[in-house]
Amino acid sequence: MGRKAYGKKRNWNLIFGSLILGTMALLAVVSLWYTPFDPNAMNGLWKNTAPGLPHLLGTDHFGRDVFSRVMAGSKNTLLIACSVNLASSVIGAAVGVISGYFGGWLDEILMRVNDAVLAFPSVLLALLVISIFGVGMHNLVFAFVILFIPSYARMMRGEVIRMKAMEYIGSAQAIGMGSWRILWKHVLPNARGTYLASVAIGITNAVLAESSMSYLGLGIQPPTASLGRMLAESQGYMMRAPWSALGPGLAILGIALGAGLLSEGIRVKGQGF
Amino acid sequence: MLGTNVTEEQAEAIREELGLNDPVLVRYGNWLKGIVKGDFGVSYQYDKPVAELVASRIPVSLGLVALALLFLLLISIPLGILIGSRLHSVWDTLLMGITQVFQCIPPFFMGILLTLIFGLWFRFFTPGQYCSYEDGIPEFLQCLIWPALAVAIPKVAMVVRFLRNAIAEELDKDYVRTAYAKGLSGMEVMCRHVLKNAMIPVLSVVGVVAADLVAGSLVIEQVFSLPGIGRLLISSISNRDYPVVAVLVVFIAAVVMMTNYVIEALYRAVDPRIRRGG
Amino acid sequence: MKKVRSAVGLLALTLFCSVILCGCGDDKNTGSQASNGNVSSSEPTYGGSVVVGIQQDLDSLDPHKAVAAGTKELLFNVYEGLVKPDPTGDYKPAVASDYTVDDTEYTFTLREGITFHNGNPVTTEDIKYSIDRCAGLLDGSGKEPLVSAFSVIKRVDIVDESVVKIILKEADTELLPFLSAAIIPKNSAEDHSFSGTGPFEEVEWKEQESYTIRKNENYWGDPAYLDEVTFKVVANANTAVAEMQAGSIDIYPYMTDEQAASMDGIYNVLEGNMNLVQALFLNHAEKPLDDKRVRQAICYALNREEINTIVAGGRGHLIGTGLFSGFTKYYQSDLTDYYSHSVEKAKELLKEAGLEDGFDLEITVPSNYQFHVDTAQVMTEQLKQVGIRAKIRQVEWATWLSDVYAGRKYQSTVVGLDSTLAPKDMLAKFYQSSSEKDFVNYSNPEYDELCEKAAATTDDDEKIAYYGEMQKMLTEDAVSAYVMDPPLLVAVNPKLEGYTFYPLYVMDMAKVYYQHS
Repeated sequence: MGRKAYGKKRNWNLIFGSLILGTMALLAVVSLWYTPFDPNAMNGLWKNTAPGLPHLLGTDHFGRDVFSRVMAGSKNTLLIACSVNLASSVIGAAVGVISGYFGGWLDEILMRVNDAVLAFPSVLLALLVISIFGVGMHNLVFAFVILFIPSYARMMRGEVIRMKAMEYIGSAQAIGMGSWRILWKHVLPNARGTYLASVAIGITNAVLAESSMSYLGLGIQPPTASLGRMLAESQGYMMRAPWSALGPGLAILGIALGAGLLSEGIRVKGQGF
Repeated sequence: MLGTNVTEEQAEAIREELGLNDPVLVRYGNWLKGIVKGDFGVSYQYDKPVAELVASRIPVSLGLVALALLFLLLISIPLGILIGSRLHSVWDTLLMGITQVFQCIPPFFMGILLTLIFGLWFRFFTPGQYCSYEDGIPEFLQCLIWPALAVAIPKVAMVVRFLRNAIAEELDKDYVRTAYAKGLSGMEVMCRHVLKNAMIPVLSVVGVVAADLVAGSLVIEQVFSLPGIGRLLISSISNRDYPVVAVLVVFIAAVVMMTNYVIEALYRAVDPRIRRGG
Repeated sequence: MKKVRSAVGLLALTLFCSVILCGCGDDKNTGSQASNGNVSSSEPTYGGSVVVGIQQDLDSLDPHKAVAAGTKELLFNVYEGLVKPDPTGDYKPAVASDYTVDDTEYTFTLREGITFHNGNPVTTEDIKYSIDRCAGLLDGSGKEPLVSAFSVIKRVDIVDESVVKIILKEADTELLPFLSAAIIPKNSAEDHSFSGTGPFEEVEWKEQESYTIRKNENYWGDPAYLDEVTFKVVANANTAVAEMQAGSIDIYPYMTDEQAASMDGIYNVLEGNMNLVQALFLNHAEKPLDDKRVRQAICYALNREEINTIVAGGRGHLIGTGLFSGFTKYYQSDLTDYYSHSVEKAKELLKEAGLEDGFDLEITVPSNYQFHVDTAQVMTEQLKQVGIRAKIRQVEWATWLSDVYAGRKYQSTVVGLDSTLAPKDMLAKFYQSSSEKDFVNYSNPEYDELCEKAAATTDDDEKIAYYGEMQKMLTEDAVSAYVMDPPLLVAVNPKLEGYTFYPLYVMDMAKVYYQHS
């Protein structure tokens, strides 16, 4: 549906997505070396000042620069999102490929476990892990990795099964290529587009989940800048200083939206070929 | 539950009483046995039966999720129809764009925004106000409207997108042309034929979304200070009140799975093709 | 199809207009409310109910076992002792109508006609039971007393139906404030059927939600004005402001300075003292905090003025020792600036202690107290400047009580300590090595000796001198990094009057009333 129409048009999703996510990533990377102010430095004379100069997004109730904190917070959020997706996509893809390629009882078992994890509300599972292992960034990453594996596994399995049915795999088998070799040479490269799209949407989900946990006080601990935590703290100053909520809120939105659009863009691009 | 005045012997006695000195597996076994018998244990923190603590909070969370689901359908079905019948129009681009943006707002930030705009600026509602269901169902539901919206809005995009594609697909089919040829109006075709078929895939999406709504509600209770399961769960986690955590996790998981099961059953009932394939 | 589109458009337009209309209408309302608040007519009226926001759930409904200051300050409205503090800090007869003190013998006369909320008259048996329970004398089991100051009590004698004698092991002039411990019906603790004699009686406690009390119609003293008070647990300290701005909370007592500023023109903000000792308490059993130089370095590293400015808007009273400044009779004000902020001195001391590269410090903070969490965040920044890498661990109040206060498993913590109006309740309770509440693990034989001397003497000047010396020792040993007595900023609905500050940590709802409108 509508493939024709998209094919002619510019891939706006891809363009906007890369632009937004790129900007946020740039801000996050730059924050490693430079932020306009120390994101944790407090200043009693500059409490809750409105956006302007020198504080582009204003200051919070400690007189900390919101823009610098948004930069540092985006860095932490993106770091978590990327590491979670890196780990879970590799593990998930492996599970999916094995499950899909070999099928049989192995497939059955893996997919039942998969479904069970998928049916769990995401935050609940993260909460469960935190309640057992305690609050901390490592535990949070661990929880999210478990949480994210199933969707990758399912996606990869689908791709592999789809391709198994295609002719060139059959020919490859006919000329006597081994299973692993076929996987490596033919199946995996062809799943690349879908895989990248999944990673991008995974980043959206990870960002949303991380910010929720930090908002609940179960994620990144203060005074380390975290977008969710900043939102929680800003709630008490909403009338006086709405900017301290808008800054981190828009940053979450930016990263999530950017990654979401990018995912859509990659998907459409893949269909276009 | 141990106060600051407890002595070693008292502590030991309490550990004994709670069975904390038993090996993990024995404790787990006892716990399972209890669950089966309807005994859910006692909260460390409140020294009250877990069942009692949880039961008083279920209506709040259930009401919230149900209302959120209702809003989700009320918003996304008309939108889906509107967009689905005007593929690639300005409406399509605009509304899909907006819903996509909303999709990337975490529910708790949506809650904060709603509180700021409608609670503090326009004063449509009082942030933090909560009426118990015991004091009257209409008032109770009224308190849940905004939290439910905060949970529902970010999920609109997903349902709308599904419905839009489903409707567009249906509209392309022969029977629609036949219907038009019979002289039915656009509205009639939409309501009598297209929607009926397009709702089937949407049903499956609702199943997926239901889990998200539950998860969103857990968090949103914190934003709006609603005394539901989510708040109990989070404070129990922080207080390491494991009997409560365990029961709540099992309960929530069970509810989500049951929802999925019901939806699957509905799905089979509605779509004869699946029934046959099933 | 066209019709549908225009219908949707119309609907959207209508909705949009109604949004604007509603917004306008309500704006006018709030405007008039605010101007009402400025007209002050302070004629008290009886009746009405209020909602008070509180920061934490109650820890126990047992008035003798409640530990949290935040619970005790609520139970103040429900339970009374033989005596009871008034707003000036004097202890006035309550359940007793009269008392005499004779060295080791306190004689109390039961107030005539006084009844519990359950309708039963208070008897001398009930008094004996309550005091015995607090002193650990029930069944002669020799348990640890619930009120540690009661360890001085030898026995309680019932003289007749209206007179009770408390016999002490030795003279103790500081006992009276502790006798504000609740009088409850005999054996009520065993079946959890507590009942008090205060101006309000308990209605219900909904965990994590609220604690409701209503007016005691048969109160022996001045009756309360309000019919009902609901203490509502505000899950997130930050949502409290939103709730007040919208009017669903009438009184909120623990505003941070910045939150108070956002209440301008909506609610009246009253300012008093919390009567707490807020400090970065250091666990002496943890390395490297066992080293006095390290503790002193922390004291020098903290810039208390800056903390005061940032978290309290400069309204707190800085303190330099383990007593709050409102305790004017005993407080050693010259200790306040003993450690004036100096990064150099702090670094020097750390170097002496062999820690020139700094060290890791974990600060445990109860997450429900925004004020302490904020303080800890500012401290983290200040400590960083001398190389101390502080990390904050937020815990729930119950966890704080069990891990930090009772279990002493922590490195450092930011919290505020409250007390009755007896210096012993601060200085001996928290720092005497034999005390169960010495959660900082301070152990100094000289200090312990002073504690005993101070307790033993009946001479006021001598007592002041001993307590002065003890405070000096706490400061010089840098037992903890004392910060301030935080300001108590209470936001009050402008329709309410009569909120009264006490020189100790209580919240008296009996004096609050709605203005005549």
